[in-house]
Amino acid sequence: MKAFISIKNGILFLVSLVLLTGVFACQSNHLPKKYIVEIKDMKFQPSKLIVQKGDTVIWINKDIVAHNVTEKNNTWASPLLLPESTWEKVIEKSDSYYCSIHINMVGALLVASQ
Amino acid sequence: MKNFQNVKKVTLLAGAFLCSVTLLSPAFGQNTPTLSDPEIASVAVVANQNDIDFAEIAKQKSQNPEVLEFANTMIKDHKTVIDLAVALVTKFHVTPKDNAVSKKLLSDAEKTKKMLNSKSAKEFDKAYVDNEVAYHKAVIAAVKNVLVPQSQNAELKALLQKVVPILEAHLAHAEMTQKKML
Ligand SMILES: [Cu+2]
Repeated sequence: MKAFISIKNGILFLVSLVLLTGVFACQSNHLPKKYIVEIKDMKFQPSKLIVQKGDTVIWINKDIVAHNVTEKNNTWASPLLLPESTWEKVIEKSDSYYCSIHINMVGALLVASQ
Repeated sequence: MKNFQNVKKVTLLAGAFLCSVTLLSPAFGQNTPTLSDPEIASVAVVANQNDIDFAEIAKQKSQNPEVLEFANTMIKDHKTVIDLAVALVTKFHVTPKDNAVSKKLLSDAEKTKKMLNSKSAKEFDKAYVDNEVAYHKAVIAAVKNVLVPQSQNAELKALLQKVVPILEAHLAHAEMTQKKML
């Protein structure tokens, strides 16, 4: 009976060890990624982007006119982006944004829950 | 023979007059005018410059921040398009050429500027934004149906094609501003 219990404990220990390693592995496994949003034909493409916290988004202006990327409440904004120029930002939370020159150009960043 | 020539002249004149009325009323009517690349370049520059001129009047007469922001966007974007068109004609050693369409656009714009300048401060914003909606609709149709299909030079065609979504964004912006003012 005693031997059985210790075997059972041993198995439990092993199982929890495997589970824990799995959890740690998962957490450290998410290397920050880079995403590209093209600004093309007066649209942010893709207009909705799902990222993980800490990922980087790079905006590239492929239009012939200048644009910018401005958070909807103006808490952050890119400088003026001339044609072919880029701007990047590390994303910490979900945000909606627009171009303050062309106010009907809108986009959204959604930070996926882990 | 002399009589015949006179008749011919009169017919030609009448024809030209009818053409200018039916073809260009508004500047780009249902009947499609035929334009060469230098003429298309001239139309493009005039169409963009007109909208800059309207925006300059708005900057002097409007107090509405949304109207002023819209006007600033018009100045920036239409200036960019003119610069690119000028760079293109310079590259290809083409001189923009006046034509019936660009002349009609210019004379219509003179009337619009008079109308805008005559408005009281209270009436101005609506008159300006209403005109921007109508003007962008007309120019979009002209670029899509006349200027793009008729341009021969591939770079000129590509530039005009890139201008369409810009004009469409301006139209949406103008319509949004129009709704807010109701
Ligand atoms: Cu923009």
